[in-house]
Amino acid sequence: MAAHRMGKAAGYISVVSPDHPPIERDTLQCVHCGGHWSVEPGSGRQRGFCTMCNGPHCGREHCWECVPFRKKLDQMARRAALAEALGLVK
Amino acid sequence: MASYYGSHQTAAGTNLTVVVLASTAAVVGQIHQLIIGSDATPADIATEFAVLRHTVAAVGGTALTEKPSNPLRAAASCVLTGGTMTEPTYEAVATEGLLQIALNQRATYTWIANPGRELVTASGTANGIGLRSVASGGTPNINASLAWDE
Repeated sequence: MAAHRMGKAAGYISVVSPDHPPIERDTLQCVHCGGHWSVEPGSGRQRGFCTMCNGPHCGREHCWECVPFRKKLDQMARRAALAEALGLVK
Repeated sequence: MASYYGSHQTAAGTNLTVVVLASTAAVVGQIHQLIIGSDATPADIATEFAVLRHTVAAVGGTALTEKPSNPLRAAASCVLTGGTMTEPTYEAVATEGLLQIALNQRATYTWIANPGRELVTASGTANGIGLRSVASGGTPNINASLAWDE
């Protein structure tokens, strides 16, 4: 079994296939977009750590700016409520 | 808080929604488990999936019947939809994807979030999270199961 495990993981994935042994990976969660990614040591992907949110971020361009994902969800909810109030959605 | 399960199957393709969970004005979903597999004849077909937030709801599709993990619980408030639909407006895969999954059709993929690390939908009927088949080397049947709390 190929497994990369770590402390303080945010999630877990497994891939089972007849062609290879089961693959297990832990995932981390981005404190800014809420997305998960599997930890691949040596992948070369640049990730980051937000000292204000005290957690890792995924390293995608828009996630280098600190907008906690709970705040992002609030913004989406407000936009949806406004669109509904204006009759822009059914 | 109650936990619900739902599943759906559809042929893989390019930019096709497999299953989508939409919020209501007052209730949000917290997705904590996702399983993707295929019941088609085994073949080496490359498939790619993404889990994405949407900001405009899907139109059409088939409302799927969810099952509460505790049968004494009431029906779910969030709306689970699958089948042929006008896709919701998703955020971009490259910049906003919550999960990106590249998978051989022969394989079965399971993702489980630890407590407190679920994928949370924003409130509002326009908002939700969908599982999208982004690309596929063929059109094998894809089976997806989703579990969420609300």
